[in-house]
Amino acid sequence: MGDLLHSLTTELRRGSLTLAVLSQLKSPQYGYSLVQRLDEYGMKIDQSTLYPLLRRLEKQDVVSSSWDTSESRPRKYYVLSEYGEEIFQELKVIWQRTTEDLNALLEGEENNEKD
Amino acid sequence: MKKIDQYIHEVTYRLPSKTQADVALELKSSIMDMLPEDYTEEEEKEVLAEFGDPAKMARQYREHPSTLFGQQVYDFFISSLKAGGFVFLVMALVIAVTGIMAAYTDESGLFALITTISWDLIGAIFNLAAHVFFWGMLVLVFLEWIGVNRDENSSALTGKPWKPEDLGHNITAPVNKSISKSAIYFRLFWTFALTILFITAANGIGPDGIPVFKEDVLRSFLPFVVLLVAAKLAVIVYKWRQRHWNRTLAIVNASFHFLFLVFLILFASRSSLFNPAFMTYLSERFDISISSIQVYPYVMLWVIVLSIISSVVYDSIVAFKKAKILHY
Repeated sequence: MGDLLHSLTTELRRGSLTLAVLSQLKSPQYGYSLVQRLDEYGMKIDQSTLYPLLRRLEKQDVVSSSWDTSESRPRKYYVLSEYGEEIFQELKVIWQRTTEDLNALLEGEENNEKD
Repeated sequence: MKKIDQYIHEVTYRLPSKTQADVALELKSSIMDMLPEDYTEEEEKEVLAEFGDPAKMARQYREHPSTLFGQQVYDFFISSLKAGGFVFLVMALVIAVTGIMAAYTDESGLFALITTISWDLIGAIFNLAAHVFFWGMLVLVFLEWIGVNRDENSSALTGKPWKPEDLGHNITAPVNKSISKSAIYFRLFWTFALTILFITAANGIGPDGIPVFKEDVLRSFLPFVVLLVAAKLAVIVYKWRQRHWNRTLAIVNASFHFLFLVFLILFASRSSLFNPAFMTYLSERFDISISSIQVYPYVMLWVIVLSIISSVVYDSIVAFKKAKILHY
């Protein structure tokens, strides 16, 4: 059961990760700062998922990136593009609607149990 | 630091070359972000463990998953192909050249022989590629069928999860930008060995006192040999001083190789290279008619020449690749 639960949880989280990442990119962030910010909200993200995801989002023009070389260690910063901002707002609405629907469903199921 | 570079290499060599440098830089800075200023080897391992299996990381970067096979099996196939590619090429060369021995008739001249070699070579390469691909596929299908581990987090071969200690145990060791002293000694040794060999041959040394080559033909090449040796020594000294591959050095290296190949091909194409007395000697020794024995020394010579060509071309390409490596 543990394995199945684990893979179902991963699947459930996979779709929401993009939204979580986008939500933190209104201001420029580099990889590790993003990991820490998400971690503060209890959102654990694998490094092996995050960096490829950021690159993919960049390729889709949702985020743009720039190298900051002013400090001793060069860092790649990501930030939402204008297009990304639109996508994020729409995705957020869809997410909120989905969670409301899902909550209603789950509550409905609890009520059924009580009957 | 070494482990981090190895890790990054393990990820990037699986990616298309145009993204390699950028991914490498980003991974490097992300890994360093997670480490304190003076970190221990243990801390380094912990961070790498958090980054996880480099093969899995590379799969996430690649986006277009292989649908025919499981990713782990596919990864294994590709890395073995990369590692084996050069060996296959040399094998194809040898197969092609030895194939000539049967086909040769003494009516056709040396030019015809070389053309046949070239055509047979292309044929052999295609033939071999088809074989490798077909049998490789078959093995893959078999591996899939017996159900090797398809767990995303484990190796397809061992079934064990990846751990940082696995770094450096791979068939694709990271290519190193630096030029080792032993590599330089090796080159020096070969330069002197080949020079001595040439001078000995030019002085008419051979079995039972019969010179293998025509001495006057070999002596006519002597000035070029002296020039080549001088150039080679200059290249070695330059390498010695640079200690690292860079673009200029790769160009110098490739130019020398080019000169050397021109010389080698001109040399091997001389139709009157071998001593007629040596041919007679071979004919008597092996009891084969002089007309059929004539081809053997040439075939031997061209096997050697083609092997040298392939290794020299390989060396030139690798030099450029090494020159492109960034200091991570």
